[in-house]
Amino acid sequence: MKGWESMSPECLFVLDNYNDYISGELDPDRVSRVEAHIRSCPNCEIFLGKASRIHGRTAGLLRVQAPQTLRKSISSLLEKT
Amino acid sequence: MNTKSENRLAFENEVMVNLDSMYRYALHLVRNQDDASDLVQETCARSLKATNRFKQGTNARAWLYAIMRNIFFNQRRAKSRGEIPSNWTDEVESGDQRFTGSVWPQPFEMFLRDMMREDIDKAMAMLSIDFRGVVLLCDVEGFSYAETAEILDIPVGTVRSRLHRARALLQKMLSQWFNEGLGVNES
Ligand SMILES: [Zn+2]
Repeated sequence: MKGWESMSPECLFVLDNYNDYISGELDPDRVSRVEAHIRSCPNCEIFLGKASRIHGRTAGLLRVQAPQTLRKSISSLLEKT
Repeated sequence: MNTKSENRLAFENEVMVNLDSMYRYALHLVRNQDDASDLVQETCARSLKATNRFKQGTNARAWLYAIMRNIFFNQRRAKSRGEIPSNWTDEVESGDQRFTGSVWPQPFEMFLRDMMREDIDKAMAMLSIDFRGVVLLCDVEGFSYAETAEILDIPVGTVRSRLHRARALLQKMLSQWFNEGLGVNES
């Protein structure tokens, strides 16, 4: 990571685990370790914040809805069957 | 005069609640709106015939996805053999309301969102079907790694690595919108 001269082993730990952290798939011990580190490392705190935001925005935009026409035909299928 | 069983009603509820999500999964598989609607209809028709195998309280969405995936791959196989797949023939009008989400109401935000969506769509289309699948299931639909692994019939480790890689690729392709690069490149 650019400009992270002060990257510690804990920073690397965050880097290795942030994806699973964002997915909510990290085990509780690791979650505590990530959270303990970001409280004392502004770089990692900012990094994790950005990663979560980007992830949230992408997922939000991909959340397309079913067309009304489809919704209607499915309801009538369920009704008449 | 036949009243619907409790199981049947629960099933119908699951279908309606999961309709958006089924449509998104169909769109991911077939990549066009009309075919996606057809695929959802076919999935509902098939699963209706199998409601006796539906168990209340189980993961209905995963079950519906599995049925959809089967239909899709069977149709694709049939097509590649030159046979005509049995299509659902009821009236299906083209859905032009693909992007009717109601997240940001202001006009400018809506404009921005549509532009971003177009790019996200392009970026997603550039990912292989394998990568797109995990993004959709984990990030959009919120399935766990384990559930995704089960739906796609791949190991959990593969889900994890594909997801991490796909996110990095998406982020790279969409970096103009996220004018805050992560400064990290997974490869
Ligand atoms: Zn750090």
